[in-house]
Formats: sequence, structure tokens, C-alpha cells
Amino acid sequence: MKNILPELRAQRGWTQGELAQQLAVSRQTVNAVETGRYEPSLSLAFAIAALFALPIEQIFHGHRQPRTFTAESDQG
Amino acid sequence: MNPNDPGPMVRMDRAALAAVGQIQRFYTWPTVSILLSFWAYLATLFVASLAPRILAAGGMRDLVVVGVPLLTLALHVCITHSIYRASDEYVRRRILQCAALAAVILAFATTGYFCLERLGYPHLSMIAVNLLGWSLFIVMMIWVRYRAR
Repeated sequence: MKNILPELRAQRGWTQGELAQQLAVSRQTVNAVETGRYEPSLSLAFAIAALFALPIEQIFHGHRQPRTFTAESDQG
Repeated sequence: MNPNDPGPMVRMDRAALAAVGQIQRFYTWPTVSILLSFWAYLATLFVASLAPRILAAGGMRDLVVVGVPLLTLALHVCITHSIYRASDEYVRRRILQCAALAAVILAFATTGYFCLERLGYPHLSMIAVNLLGWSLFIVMMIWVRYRAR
């Protein structure tokens, strides 16, 4: 899953440490989320969205698509 | 000469302060407490290994040999758990990865040594396996804490 966290952080002129402090997580966590090594939990994603006042889907994208069920696939 | 350059002494002071800051952020309670509790565990194991030669058979010797190492191990486990609980979600995941990796290394090491024993190597004490596992886990956990500083 990709995200625009580095761009949002750069817009505000924050370091990873400053963002981590505001989200009450470690700098390592911010780094892992930014580089896509770690997908944040729902609560952390909501906290990030609230901090930047943006919807979650605008910050995180490229997520897994849900399986679509059709009448044929339901019948097996 | 750059008028904004504070000079080599000020630059050196700032570098030293930054280094001290890094050290202070690393030597927080989780790192110190896990090292101290492991040291206490090792110390009680050492005393327990000497106790049969020093103390006469009885309740006190049983306590020193069996009870005290188990108590310090319980303390060590509690501290490890409290560090896990105090960490954020990513660090928690890293700690679990450390535990899994230590378990896999231990599994391979014990299987390997079991095969060596069949070839005539000396019998390995269970405490060696225990200490290897804990040492691996602690080194990896401290590395995680160091990276999270």
C-alpha cells in the first residue's frame, strides 16, 4: 500500500520525529509506514488522517481490492 | 569565510550534544531494565550452580537452587512483557518477529547439536539452551529498541 505521508510531512516542514511525537508512536514506525514496509493499524491510519485533516483513502492508496462475487461464482 | 559558520568549537559542541542525546534516548528504562533483569537472572543462576557446594542440604539450599532463579526469570519475563505493552504497534510487531527468529535459530541450533551429540560431542545442559535463547532474544530486542530511539 502506497501513501503520500512524506509529501504531507514535507508540506508542513515536520521531521519524522516530530510527526511521530504528534502521533504518539516511535520515529521508526513513521519511517516504516512512509517507506511502505508497514501497513498501519486502522486506529493509526485514522490518527494520521485526523492530523492532516484528510480522508484516509486520500493518504493511503493502492489497497487490496475486495473480491467481487457474481451469481456464477456463488454457484461454484 | 562564511559569517554564518559558528566555528569548529561550536560545531564540535553540537555534535557532542547530539551524541549524548542519542545515548540518552537509547538508555531509557526499557533497555536498562531488560539488561539489569537478565543480569540478575544470570547472577542467581551462578549462585544456584555454586549453592550445592557451599550450603548444607535443606530448605535454604532448595530455595537458592530452585526458587531464586525462577523468581528472577519471572521478573525478567514480566519486564519483557511490560516493554512489549509499552511499545507502539510497529515495535510490538518487531519484538514478536525477534521472538520468532530467536525460536527458529534455537530450534536449528538444538537439532544441529543433537546430531553432533550422536557423533560423540559432550551432552549439552538444558541451561545452555535456555541462555542461548534468552541471549539471542535480548540482543535482537535491544537492537529493535536502539532503532526505535
